[in-house]
Amino acid sequence: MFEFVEMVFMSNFIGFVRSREPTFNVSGWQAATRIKFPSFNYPNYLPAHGHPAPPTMLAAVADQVKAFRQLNKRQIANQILNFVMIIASALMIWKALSLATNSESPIVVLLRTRHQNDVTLNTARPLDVSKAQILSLFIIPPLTNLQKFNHSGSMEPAFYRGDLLFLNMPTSESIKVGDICVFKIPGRDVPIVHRVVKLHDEYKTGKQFLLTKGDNNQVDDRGLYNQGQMWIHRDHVVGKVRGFLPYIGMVTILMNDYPQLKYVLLGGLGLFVLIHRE
Amino acid sequence: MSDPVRVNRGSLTDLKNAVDDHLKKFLTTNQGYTENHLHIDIKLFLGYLSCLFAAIGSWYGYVHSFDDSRTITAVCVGAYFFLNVILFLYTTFVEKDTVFVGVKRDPVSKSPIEILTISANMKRYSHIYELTFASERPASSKASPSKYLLESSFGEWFDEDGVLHEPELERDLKDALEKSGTKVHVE
Amino acid sequence: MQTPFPSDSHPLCTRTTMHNLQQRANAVSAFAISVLFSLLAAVALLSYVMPPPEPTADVAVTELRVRREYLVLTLFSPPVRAGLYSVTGRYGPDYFDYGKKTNEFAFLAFDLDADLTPLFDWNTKQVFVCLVAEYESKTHNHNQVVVWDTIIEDKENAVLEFQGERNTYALIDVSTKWQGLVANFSLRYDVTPHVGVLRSGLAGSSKAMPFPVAEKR
Repeated sequence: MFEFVEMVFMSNFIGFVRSREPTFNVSGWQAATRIKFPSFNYPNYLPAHGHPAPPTMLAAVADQVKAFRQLNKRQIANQILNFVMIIASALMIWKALSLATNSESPIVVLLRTRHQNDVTLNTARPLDVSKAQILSLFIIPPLTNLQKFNHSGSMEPAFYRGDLLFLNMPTSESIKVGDICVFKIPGRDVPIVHRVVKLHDEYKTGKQFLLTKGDNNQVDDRGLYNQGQMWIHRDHVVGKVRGFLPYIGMVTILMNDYPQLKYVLLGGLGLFVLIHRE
Repeated sequence: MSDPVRVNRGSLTDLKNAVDDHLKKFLTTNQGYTENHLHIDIKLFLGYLSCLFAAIGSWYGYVHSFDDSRTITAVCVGAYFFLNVILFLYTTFVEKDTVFVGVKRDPVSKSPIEILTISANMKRYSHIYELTFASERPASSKASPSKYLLESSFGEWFDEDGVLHEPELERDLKDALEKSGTKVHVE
Repeated sequence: MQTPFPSDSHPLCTRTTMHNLQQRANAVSAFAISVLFSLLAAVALLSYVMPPPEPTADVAVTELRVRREYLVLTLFSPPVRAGLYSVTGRYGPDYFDYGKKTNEFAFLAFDLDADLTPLFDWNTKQVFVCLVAEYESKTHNHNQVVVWDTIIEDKENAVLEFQGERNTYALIDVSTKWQGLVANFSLRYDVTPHVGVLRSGLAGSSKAMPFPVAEKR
């Protein structure tokens, strides 16, 4: 009984509110051009009280910062939590991916090239060194110490600078020749992305002896290996290249070439997340 | 308050947040309710706990090699996602769209006289804001709380510059409190 | 008097459009990025689910010889492409493979008849083709050595017909001896897509070829 009365009462009131739905007259634009614009459901605001909004974006940001300072403890904690959650989510997704693909860095970016004149007994020719950069979703701080730079020449025409490579390292599958592998020479923090050209599996120990070479290189990678090292093994391999996306990694390259850009972007984003209330 | 609250008139979230903040302030300072922080406390706890797991997992993976840290990383990743799922379920099914939960206590006996729950609803791209006031009295015999729906346009509380007009908002709130069965405390 | 919004008679109209501009730019870019990524994912998925058909190839090794080759150590020596008995592509460093006089190298000439045009569809960027010597030895149960490779970028070049082609890379075993070993020469391909998953496969294989005794100089 009471519910019924309540409903009748409420519906009356709702009707009362709804009847004050805004109507608006034809704006100056429509009158001038005589085109009928689609009608948007704008509300009727109260008349201005003499506190005009600031005309510049910087002052508008200052406005938001002022509003931020009026938050109470729990709301500030909530804002900080939002910021930390973004970083944590990015990190955890990265870790989950690396666990799923069984590879230390599941996504790599081919970065800037560097010619290296390596005058040792290994090789006397100017050698194109291959490296590739780990993708950091630019929110992830560069925790990874793997810096990969790929000479865009040594794997052309397959991979160019700025390409994204997806790796995995299945435990059941063995490496075959023709597979493109990302591997790290021990003692050097320079992972390389090249193709396997020689493969010898030892019967007794099951150890794999691999030799790699870039597609566009004239010689194999023995000049890149350590002194006296003729082969690499499966534990040097970070992963096999499985998937490929062109050009997307340019963002990481830009941020690598211009570190100020990285700090500005990260700092700005962080500030934005902290201030902005969802 | 001498400083006017100004928001970006074009952003519905800003408008909603301004109304919600003022609503909380009005009910706690003016009408004698004490805010119950259970929902946000639980959300903060779950959130920070999941971030702690994320931090531990990342730090351990950074210090140790990939193979050694596999189990710990898996545990931390699992815990993080599990806690986030719990958080999501809590927000969706327990908290729903509650904006404010306040308790009015008897000044002498400290037992709750009334528990007021306000939930908000807003459709996408619409300037109509719906606030549902649910007032529950533990003392009385009524099973369900008495509800009242306040449906209003943002344009009634904000002016063209985006400044919030407190008298208009408080008038509507007092109206809603009365109709939901509360005795409104007049200043 | 209540005026509608946006009011273009307002002197400070720019501030609202600036906020609007920010929000609209934000919304548009977010939408554009999500559309782009879903498109890329769709392309990759489609290519993975509907791969192009397998190609066929005929590989026949016409000549196979084993010689003991060695080189005098020189510091600067460019790779030499010469007749059947000269080493063309060297696996360095030179002292490792070519420093000892008893290391045995295999030289071969092969006929290749392969049609790789089925591999070229809308999502193919290049195809890497290599001729691989696969064999088993006493100490190593699985050996693969690339003796010849090429990269095909267009469908027009995808038909490979060679007679008497030589190996470009030196064929030497880990044990440096070819005595008693038998090898298959198979043609393997590796497709790099524009967007998506890399595919590799086996196009064709020659019959088992035993390695002859090393020739006396």
